[in-house]
Amino acid sequence: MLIADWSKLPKELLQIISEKLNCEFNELRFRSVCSSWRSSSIPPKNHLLNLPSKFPYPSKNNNNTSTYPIFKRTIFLINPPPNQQQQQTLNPWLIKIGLDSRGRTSLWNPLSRDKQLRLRFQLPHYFDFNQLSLFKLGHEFVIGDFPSVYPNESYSTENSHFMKKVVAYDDTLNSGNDRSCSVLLTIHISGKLAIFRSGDQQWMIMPEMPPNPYTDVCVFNGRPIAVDSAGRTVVVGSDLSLDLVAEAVFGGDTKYLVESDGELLLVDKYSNRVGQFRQFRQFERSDYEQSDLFSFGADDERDYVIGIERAVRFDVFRLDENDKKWVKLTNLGDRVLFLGKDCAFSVKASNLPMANGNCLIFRDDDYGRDLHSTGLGIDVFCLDKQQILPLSSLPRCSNLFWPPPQWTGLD
Amino acid sequence: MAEEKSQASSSKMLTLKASDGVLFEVELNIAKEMKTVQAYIDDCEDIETIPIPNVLGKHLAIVIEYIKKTNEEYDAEFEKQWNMDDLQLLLLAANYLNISGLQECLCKAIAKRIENKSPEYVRKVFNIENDHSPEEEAKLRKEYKWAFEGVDKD
Repeated sequence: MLIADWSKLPKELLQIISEKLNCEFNELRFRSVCSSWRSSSIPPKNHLLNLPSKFPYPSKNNNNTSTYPIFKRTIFLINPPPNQQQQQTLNPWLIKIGLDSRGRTSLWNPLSRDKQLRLRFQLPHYFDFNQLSLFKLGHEFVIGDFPSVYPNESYSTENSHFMKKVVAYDDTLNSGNDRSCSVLLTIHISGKLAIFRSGDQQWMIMPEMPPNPYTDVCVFNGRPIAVDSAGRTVVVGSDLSLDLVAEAVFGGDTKYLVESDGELLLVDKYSNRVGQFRQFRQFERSDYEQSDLFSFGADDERDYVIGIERAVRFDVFRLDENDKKWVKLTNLGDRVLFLGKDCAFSVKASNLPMANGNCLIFRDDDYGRDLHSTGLGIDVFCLDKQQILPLSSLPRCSNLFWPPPQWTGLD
Repeated sequence: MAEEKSQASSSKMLTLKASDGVLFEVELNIAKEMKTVQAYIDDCEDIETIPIPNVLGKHLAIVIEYIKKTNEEYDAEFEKQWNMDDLQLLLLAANYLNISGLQECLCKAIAKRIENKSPEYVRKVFNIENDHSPEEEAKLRKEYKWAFEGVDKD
């Protein structure tokens, strides 16, 4: 009888196997095994290959020539090796990993743009990925050079602090058979949407002025979606037309989009203003007009006022695609939603592991944050109690993030 | 005779003959899960014994058992019992017999076994030769530097 010759397995079967790998990290390893495995699998999408390595910030006047590098960072849940026998259950580790501006592999705060640890500090061999199961939770794209944890430096003109979330998707209009084209979508300071396609030199700010500024973007089932501060949600067509996905809900101050269990959820954040400060502005005033974030003094004043907001509570909605409405959810069940600055994702509580789901893990913006605080700045909103708790009050949850679990050997 | 036939049709038995001559008597509705066998029956209605030339008796027995028992729980435990050689032959059997549920289950199982393993390890276990040129190999490693950095040298 035939000795199993795996390299000769029918292509269709190899393709099915490669599709079942849980992240592109493993898809790439699959493709490296041999040429027949490689030709049977579809290469994981890498939008950055179709885009320049540096971008300007989106701006109405296209005089700015400064460009900044783009980085892709991936969020993983790492589970401990199954063969270790300990009395206590080993907890997994939630990390965000990506290159810094000097090309070094680094760990980042999963919910913000701050650095957490430079991986190379520890000996690489402690981190044997062969023994661990990695589960990809999400990824994000960030444009700009990154500051240290100190908020002082992060307000310099060179930083990307005012860059909002950036998402990437396939440009179906322009992709030919061989060429792939990618598009980046983000929100300009004014609250309008901005697009950057393969081959562009500058961001194109979409002229349509929404009744309310856009506050979040995401890619859902391959389609780019944007939501404004009232909850009105649109899908961006390949011809840049905007089609209604759901009507506004009004409610709170900022809206976010999260994909969870195959459906799209809306998170509505209610915030209170707890203070404000002035900041030197780096763009032309016309860029900031109609943005809720800023208020201005006289025309020639080169600074503006930023409000410091803190979340008070959240509402969650699920999408009714047929009626084009957001329907309020009173219970998330086993799900835990994570709201990061550049990425949002959902995980089952049982995978984390956490005793209960039905909560939302988030981080308020850095504005006005205590300079000397060493914490991650992460809070948890429990939907049942309608209450915000600091992460430190939930040790099992807090241990997900930091310090690195004992079994990693990194502590 | 006609009455008997209509009564028996719900539990009509079919014989499947594996490549090594082993015979299996299965109910029609079980055999129908194998789309290849179904096509055979559609072509020649009166057939009683269907040859399955590509599948050993040992594996056909496992396949039939799977069809009888498949459900979420069974599937989860099913794949754990087999070594890599059996997994491959079962997958080829499922593919030949066109049983989509079993094929999916086995592909998922194989994916799980190769997840997080280095390409070198996969080649060793699966007995595959690396036929990439050194340039292609270097290009691959560059593409995703840190994906390899975390891998143990085995």
